[in-house]
Order: sequence, then C-alpha cells, then structure tokens
Amino acid sequence: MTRAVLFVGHRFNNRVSLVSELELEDAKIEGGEAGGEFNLEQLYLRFNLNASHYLTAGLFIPRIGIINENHLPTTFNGNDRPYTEKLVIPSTWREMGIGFYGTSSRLTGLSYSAALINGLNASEFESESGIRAGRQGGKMATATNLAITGSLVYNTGDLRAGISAYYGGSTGLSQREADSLLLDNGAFSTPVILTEANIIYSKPLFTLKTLGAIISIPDAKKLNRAYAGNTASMMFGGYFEAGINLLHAFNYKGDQKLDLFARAEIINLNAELPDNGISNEINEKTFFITGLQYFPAKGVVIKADYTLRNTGEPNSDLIINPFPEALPYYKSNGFFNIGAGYSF
Amino acid sequence: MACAGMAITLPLLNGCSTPSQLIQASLNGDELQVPLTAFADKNYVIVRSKQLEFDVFVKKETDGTYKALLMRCTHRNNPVQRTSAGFVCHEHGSRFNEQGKVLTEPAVKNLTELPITINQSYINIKYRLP
Repeated sequence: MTRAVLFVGHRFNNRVSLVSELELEDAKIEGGEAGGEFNLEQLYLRFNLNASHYLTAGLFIPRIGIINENHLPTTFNGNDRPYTEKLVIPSTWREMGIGFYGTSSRLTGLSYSAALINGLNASEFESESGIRAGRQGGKMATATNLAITGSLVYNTGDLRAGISAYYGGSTGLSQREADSLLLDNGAFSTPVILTEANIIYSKPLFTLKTLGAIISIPDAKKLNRAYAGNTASMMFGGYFEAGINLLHAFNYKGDQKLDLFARAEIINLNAELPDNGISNEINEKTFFITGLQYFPAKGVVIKADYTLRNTGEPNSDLIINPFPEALPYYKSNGFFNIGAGYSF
Repeated sequence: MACAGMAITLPLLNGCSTPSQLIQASLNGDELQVPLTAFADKNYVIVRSKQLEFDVFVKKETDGTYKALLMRCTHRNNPVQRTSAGFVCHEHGSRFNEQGKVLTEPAVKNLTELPITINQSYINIKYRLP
C-alpha cells in the first residue's frame, strides 16, 4: 500500500482554522526494517484576512507546479504521479514557514501566492534524485537558510495556466562551519533556483496537461567540493499528457468515468555539471505512460497503467564497490501498475 | 489605457475590462440583503460581508429567477474563485460550473445553494454554513 492520509481540521472561528494531514506510507512501520514512514504532510494555522485572502503559518505545501498541492489520487492520471513532479519538483514538498494566498477581485480568474519558508539542506542532495533528499519537511528543520516562493495562476474558460518560482539558500551553516567547508554563509547562500510553468486545458470530453520545470544551482561546484554529492548545476524536466473520458464520448451523463490517458516525460538531472561533477547518463530519462482510470463513483478511482522508462548508460566509474550479485541494469524497462485510490 | 493595452497584448486577461461584480452587504440576522438594482447592468454579483467568511455568488437566470451559491469548496472548505467558466478552488484544483456542479474532483459535492426570498426591491439570502 503506497499511502493513507488522514485529514483533521478545525475551525476556531470565522478567521482562524487548523489544517492537518497525517500520512502513513507502506501500511506499517517496524523497527529495523526498510520502508514505512509516518509523517505530517501538513500542519498549519490559517488566518483569513477577508473572503479572498489568507495567511498560513506552520508546515504547509507551497504552490509549485500542479501536483504539489493537487496530489490526491483522483486528480492525476496513473498510479504514480508524474515523474517530473517527483524528481525535478520534489513533490510532495512541504516546509515550515508562512504563506500568503489570494485571488484577484479585479481580474476574474487570477490567483497568487507568496511564501517564506525554510530552505533546502544541500548536504543531502543526491545525483540520482536531484534536490529531493534535501527537503527538510519539518523534521528537525532549521531556518538558518531561507527560501521565497511565489506563484500566479490564471483560469479562463477551460484553460488554467500557472507559473511559479523558488529561490532559496541551501547550506544554512554557521560562519565557522561554512568556512571549514569553503562554503558561503547566510540565509540565501548557495541558492537553488527553480522555475516552472504549466497549462491545463479541460473539457468534459478530454483534458490536456503540460508542465516544464528547470532548476539552477550556480554554486554546485562548491557543494560538490564540500559534500561530494555530484550535484548538477542545472536540471530540467517536462511532460505532456492527454486524457479522454470514454464514457462521455458515448454520451453517458452519470457520475461514472472511464479515462484513457497517455503521458510523455523527459527529465535530465545532470543537464549541466560543474567541472568537478561526473556525468551519469542514468540521469537522462524519458518515460511514456499510458493507461485507464475507472471512477465507479465520485471520489473513487481504479487505475491500470503501463510505464516504459528509458535512461542512458550508468557510469561505471561511479560504482566504487560493485556488488557481486547486483542485478543487471536495463536501460529500457517497462512496468505494469494496478491500483485504487479514493478522496473525500 | 493600461487596460486597453493589456486587452490587445494579452487578450486572455479579459477580466480587466469588465466592471467589478463585487458588492458589499451587511448581515441582518442571518440574512444578506442584495438590492435588485445591482442586476440592472449585470447578470450576477458576488456579495461580500466583513462579518462572513465566504462570499456568495448570486446569479440572475435568463428566466428572471435568482440563484445564490456559497463560494466555499465542498472538499476542504476553502474559498472558491469565480472564473469565466464557473468556479475554481485553488487549494486542490476542484472546478465547478456556473450552476455549482462539480466538473473536476477532488470535490465530490456541488456548491451549496443558499435559500433566497425576494421582496419588492431586495433579494434576501439566508446565510448558513452546512
């Protein structure tokens, strides 16, 4: 079982409310065994300024990309969320901080957000997962480095277009620690810059989605010198997805849905490397996913899909201690996935 | 002129050239009063009160009747925003059409319709959170 999430909220009054989500991954946690995680996905207080603006304070999910905020199983196609929004945008990405959210009264359909959150921890960056392992997620999180994010989303007719950006320090060390590692020190030192744009076009019969994201780490060379994480100075990813509601195509008007979808993704986690980085073509990936989603009732989905993953050749120079019984690596590999999900 | 310039260069931003549909109203007991004159030059208004957490969308239908929808997403009780095609909740992406019917999950229930009564010059909306 991938995950189960329990939502608990409380409304203190018209102005103040609590939002929390508790997540259990892999069904159970046992000491000494791999897998299993119990975490707070969100825990924040929300302060309404008026009917269209509010503040958040605590552990929350900033508005970056499509999936980060809208990651419920009934809202995305396939058993796995888009890989671009896992490996480039490290969804579900939550951090401690304060956020401001609003919608425009003058420009119908425009919404915006801004947030000040704790930054990433670059000592955890990994070549094969980008910045993902550097998320603090509220666990022993420090605010010695900070990040700012902002987003604009515009809805008009059946079209939704969004852009977002993230700029944050990634080291957060004291002066002494930074000096010893030859790193800069300060709230926004050794910055990670992420920019992203996305478009969704939805009709009752079909939906089209596309997203592109790029990460720049100008001081990746300093990070590699300090932590030997083989961090790239640029990573990018993007996808295009099309889905059709087959029952609607046959003039069915009830609550059930049967969607056929296909998604193509391209990801490069070592698009640019500093001169102390080592190229690994395994980080150049493409995915093609196609499948069916059946909604027997609103809020319930049964999923079946096939995923074809292609990568470059692994760099054998990076395998320092080869495992004698290691399984062969397939540059082209396919997976069948079947699952079910719900949300209410 | 700024709006005209934007209309030429960014035709998607059509909201810029429309008059604001937002009107303020005060709560009288548990009722909001909206003057019928508010619909003289528009077919819908968004009613806001400083005393209330959510706006109310009031539409004049083509047959002359009125309908009031609570602008609160039925998924996690976040405010929804009016768009040119209906409503959207930015928190989790739920979409509703202009009648409040769910178009896109995760919301599974339609927007709440609030009871209204009409006297000679006002629409009275009973504001209650389900």
